[in-house]
Amino acid sequence: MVLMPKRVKFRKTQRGTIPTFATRGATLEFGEFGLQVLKGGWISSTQIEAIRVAITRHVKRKGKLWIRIFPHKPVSKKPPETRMGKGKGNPEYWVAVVAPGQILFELEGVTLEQAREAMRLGAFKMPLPCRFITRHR
Amino acid sequence: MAEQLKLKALPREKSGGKNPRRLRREGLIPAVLYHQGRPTLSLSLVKSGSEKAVSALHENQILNLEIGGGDKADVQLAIIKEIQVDRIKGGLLHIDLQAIALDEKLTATVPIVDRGEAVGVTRDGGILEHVLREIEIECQAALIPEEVAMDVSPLEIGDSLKVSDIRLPEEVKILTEPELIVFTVSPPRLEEEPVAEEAAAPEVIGAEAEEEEKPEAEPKE
Repeated sequence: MVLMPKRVKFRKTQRGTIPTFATRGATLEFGEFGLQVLKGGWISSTQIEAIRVAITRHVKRKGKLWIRIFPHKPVSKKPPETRMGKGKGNPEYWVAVVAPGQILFELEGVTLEQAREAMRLGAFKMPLPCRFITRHR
Repeated sequence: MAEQLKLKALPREKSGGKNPRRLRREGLIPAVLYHQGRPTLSLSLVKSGSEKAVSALHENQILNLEIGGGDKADVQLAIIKEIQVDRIKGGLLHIDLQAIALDEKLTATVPIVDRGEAVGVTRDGGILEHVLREIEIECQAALIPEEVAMDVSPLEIGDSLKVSDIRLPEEVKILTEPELIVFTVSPPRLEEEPVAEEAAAPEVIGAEAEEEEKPEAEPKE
């Protein structure tokens, strides 16, 4: 199940900038454990799906998982062996723009060890460095 | 009842700009002390000697502050109202304190924690959902609990615990709505892995209107 918006205002967007620090979405809101990204960047919808599958498979569908990010941004690409010009390429995939400190996934209803291992396996699918966090500081 | 922690504090003359950062580099924590009827005091808390205690600080903790040094030190009881934490490095950025007297009535937000393992989870494989994580209480400062524990062990699938089920001493008044659910045990999920769907392009808002306008323009060519 690839995440993407149902309706958009514009088919293509400019690249934009990556925020230096997450001011929103940087605290655990729903679950007991979370996966926090430590660098800013783009996370594609397929990567989000791969992380979700890795986590849910490890916890064997126990517990409850929250996905705190959504790929709102289309990324366009020119076909191979095309000359420059002739306008912007077609949208290829969708990404979520994340800022350092943002919480990507939250988990509840599993033990600390299970959650830590599930998040570790999920983090292998990440294009950016991230860490496991719990509610207790 | 939360235990009192002794901390040394120094009055802070310069505030804002690069000053708090400079203090943190020196091992101090910028803080502010609010005092009813008196001007607000900018402080810096001394970390040295109680590194462990400082890292374990939490909201609603009562501090025994020794403001200033030497013979002129002023002792003041204060409660932690807010702690600002660096979300990436994990260090303390700033602490908001409120001067109190132990017999003074206060409102405070206290975390709720679970005790035991729910029957619905261990026997039937359900999921224990922690819906409400904090409650608001009103009581004397000395009686503010560090956390409120609830026994979830009798919960079966479909059962829930409400705010009204919380048992606290008579002097502590709960301000949160009593009908709100705190814990619930939901049945195990039986959903199957969703099958990969063919990715369809999203609908563009306003595109239909543009297309309707186009045919009118074309016959002119």
